[in-house]
Amino acid sequence: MIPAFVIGLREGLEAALIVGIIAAFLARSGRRDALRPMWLGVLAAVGICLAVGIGLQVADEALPQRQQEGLETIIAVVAAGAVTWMIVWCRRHGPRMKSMIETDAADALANGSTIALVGMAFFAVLREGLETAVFLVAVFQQSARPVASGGGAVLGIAVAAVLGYAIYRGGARINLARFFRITGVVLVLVAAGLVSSAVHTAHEAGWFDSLQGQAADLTAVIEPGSVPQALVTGMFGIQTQPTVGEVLAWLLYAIPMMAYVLWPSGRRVRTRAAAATAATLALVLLVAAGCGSGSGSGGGSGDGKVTEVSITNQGCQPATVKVPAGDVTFKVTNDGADQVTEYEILDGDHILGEVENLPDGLTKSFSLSLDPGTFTTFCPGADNEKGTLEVGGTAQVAASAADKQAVAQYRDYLIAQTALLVKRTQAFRDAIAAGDIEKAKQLYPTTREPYERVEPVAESFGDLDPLMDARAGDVPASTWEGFHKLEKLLWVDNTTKGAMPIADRLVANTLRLQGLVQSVPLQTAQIANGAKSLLDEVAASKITGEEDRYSHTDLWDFQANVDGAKAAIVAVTPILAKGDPELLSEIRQRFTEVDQSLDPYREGSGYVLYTKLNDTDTKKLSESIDALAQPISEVAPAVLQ
Amino acid sequence: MSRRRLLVLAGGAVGAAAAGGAIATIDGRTAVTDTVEFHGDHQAGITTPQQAHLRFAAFDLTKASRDDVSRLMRQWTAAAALMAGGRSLGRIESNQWAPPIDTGEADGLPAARLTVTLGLGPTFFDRLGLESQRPEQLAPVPHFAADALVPGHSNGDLCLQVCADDPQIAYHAQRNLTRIGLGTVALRWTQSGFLGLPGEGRTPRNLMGFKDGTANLDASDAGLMRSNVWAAASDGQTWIAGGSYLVSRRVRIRIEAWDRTPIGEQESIFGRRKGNGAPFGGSSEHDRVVDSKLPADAHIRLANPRTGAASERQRILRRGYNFDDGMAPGLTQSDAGLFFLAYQRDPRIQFVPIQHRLASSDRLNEYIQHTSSGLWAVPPGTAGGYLAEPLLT
Repeated sequence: MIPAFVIGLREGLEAALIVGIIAAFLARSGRRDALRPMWLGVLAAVGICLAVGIGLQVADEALPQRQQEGLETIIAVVAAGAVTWMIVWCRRHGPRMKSMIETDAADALANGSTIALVGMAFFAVLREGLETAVFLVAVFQQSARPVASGGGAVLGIAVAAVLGYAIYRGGARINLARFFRITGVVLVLVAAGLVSSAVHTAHEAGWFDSLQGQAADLTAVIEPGSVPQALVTGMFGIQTQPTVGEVLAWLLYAIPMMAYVLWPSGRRVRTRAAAATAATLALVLLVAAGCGSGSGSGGGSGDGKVTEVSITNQGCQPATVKVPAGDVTFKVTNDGADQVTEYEILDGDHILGEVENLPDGLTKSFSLSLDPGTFTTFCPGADNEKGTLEVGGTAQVAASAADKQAVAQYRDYLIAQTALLVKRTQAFRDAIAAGDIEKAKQLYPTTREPYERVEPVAESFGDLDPLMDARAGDVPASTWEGFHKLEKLLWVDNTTKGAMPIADRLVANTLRLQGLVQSVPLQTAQIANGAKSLLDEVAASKITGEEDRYSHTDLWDFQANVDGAKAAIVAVTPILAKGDPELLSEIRQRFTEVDQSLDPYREGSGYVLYTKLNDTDTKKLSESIDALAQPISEVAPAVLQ
Repeated sequence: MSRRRLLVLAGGAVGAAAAGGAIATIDGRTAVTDTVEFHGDHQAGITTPQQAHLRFAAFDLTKASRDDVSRLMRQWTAAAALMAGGRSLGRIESNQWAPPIDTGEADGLPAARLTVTLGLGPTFFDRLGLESQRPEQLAPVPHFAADALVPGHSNGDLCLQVCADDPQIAYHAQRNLTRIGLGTVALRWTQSGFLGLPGEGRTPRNLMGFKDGTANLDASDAGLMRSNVWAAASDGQTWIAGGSYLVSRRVRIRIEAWDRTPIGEQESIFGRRKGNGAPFGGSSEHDRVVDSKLPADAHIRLANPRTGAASERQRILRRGYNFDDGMAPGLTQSDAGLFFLAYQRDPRIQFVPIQHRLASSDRLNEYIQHTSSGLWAVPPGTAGGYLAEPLLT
């Protein structure tokens, strides 16, 4: 609202002054008859400016997004140019404005031409008005509250009209020089913001892509979405996370223009010296920016937290990636590659992290915790498949050794459980092959236990979980297979007819899972979040009896999910014991309580069927799961320190 | 300058300031005393700016006669128009021997922008022998992956969407209309909803804490409404020209699991920042969404792939409400979520393909469950007649 007010005020006042001078001159020259046509001309000019402003805004809104950004860039540049011209012109000619106008008016009158005089007023208002219209459209487009801006502009113009009238009807005196200097300062800031925004929208329009590294992150100081942020962005065009290009543009405009506005009047600005200073300043800034954002361009720059890399047909880009040790996120973009869809980071032969199935144009990220050293980037299928990843700096040796230990221990658990899953699924399949429905039913719940213990890891492989564990209605009926399809055949249809192909495929998938967990990349944060996911699983479908709808063996799955969560926590216990021992002891306590809450439902080596539980029973189970899930959700931040 | 002149000038300045201020507050919050005109080319409650409270009611026909239904529509039209105007249905104490015509709990309360919107389910046409008038667009909504629909809380022969800024006004309207309908229709299921309105054009939030509706269709854009929301006579059935189609879905949110989820994951599920609603890669809520900066399965990317004309044609006018129906029975879990309501010109090419995409890939699915579905043909506005008159005559 303030920029719109200042613009309205300043442009309005200039126009009002010019019209006032002409009107006063006409009155003094005894030509009051020319006043009416002059005012009509002024109104006509105002009308045209309004139409232009509205037309620009309508045209802008009618455009598709990219072209809109392009038009907004042009408008912002023109507006900034108009302001610059106005500031320069006023500084140069301000003191002599009145006499200049009077001279022109006298000439026009001397030539007997009322029209010329009316024309002067008309064109003066038109010029100021068009500048205002363009400037206001530009500000509206950046403004979060265009209606408030509109109100501000109307207010500014109204005040300007009043002031202008007051000045020239006598009495009110304004130090015009100071007025123009102060409003000039505000306008320089606003115009600098426009230049910076033009850089932003030009990038959005796809006109250029360089200098897009983030120059600063002001979110700590200015919270996005807050009032100060709206003020700062609205008034000065400063984004909360400005790019190098935007900051450069802002500085390159604001510094010389501010100097120009504040230069003591009376002392002539030596244009050539000023231009030279400005040019040197620009050069210095460009070099600084280049150093800041360019050092990585040979080596896959990032600010240490997110590193952008890409896949091309030629190979992994850049060929040498440099990152500091610690937590790194790799943001992988497929940049036009049709022979390559994978980006892997290898430690010797071992895959540390990867993205797969990345088609052209898409981006996927993955995070790793890296120790210092040299690794390999691998883009299978490219002309040059391998590149280098250099991880510099010093690692916190103690933490990473503990992380490695946690990962190793959890991987051992995965390997053991998937091996057990394969064995039991084969026995399950054999019972089906023999047509032994009773035996198959008896084996069903225990066969599923190892799967439910490691479910989040299985789910991370995309298609595996839907193939093995989908319930009726989770997938299209024609593609439904896996545990629950067999469950339905056994319990509802009471048959093994047609079950063999499904059972065989299930065994094949368990073998696939067994292979995948050998080398799946694991991080302590993931392990902790896996525990959280397992408890969410319990709450979503085991407590509700929605998992095993035909056999009602949900409590076996319930215990298995809880066991899996326990194993995950055991793996990170050394880290947690150091980082937050109170949290660890609370979690242990809650695990005990969950086990106790399940005790009433144990039967032999198994459990009662879910149908035996009433609302009171499920409520108690639900309470104990909730109490455990809460501290579990605090583990991830605790082990990441 | 004389003092008088100065005063006149000051007055002029103040006047201008007032004008500027007035312009600046035009888009401010409207007062609870506002009424929404019931009659019009389109039914109210579709492009009407959302009110704070919802009472949704689905009914089944108990009588199969077209005359009975016509009579009911006339009565409902008259009653809804009265209540939308803030008026009672009848004097409270008219006859000591008769139950009051108006149940009374809205007496003394302003109209609170009450709207009543009628929808007709596919079975309405079957029950009344109007199969030939059933629009093709009313093809049954298919089953989507992981739907857990409760049949008794889904669908119905007809429905009323009642919205108001005051919950008592909304309840009063639905209750009285239900009463008037006794004998012709029976209540099948109801759903209450609420929405915190931040005002001044700001986007409300759902119970996941995220702004919901940033990229919603602009209901004030008549051209967009004609292309995406209002049924045209050329679409098939002429009686529904100027009407629309409503999809209702009760989406239960696993609130407790959601509240345990790290904020980083919450944001990456949606593709927007939680605080200011900025899309990934942007810095403020209404920044352009750049798909390549979002995760491939981000909710906003799946809901609107922004591929151009094809995805523009799919866009729907969303008008959903948050709900809290207490606890899920037998669990320590909430039964709360989003009662999703969306108006569109053809659900077969709008809601259905969108929901297929979401149901198959949206990571949000881990935290939600669809427990009810409804599909309704929404007749055009009354413009002097009564609801659904072109269909029933």
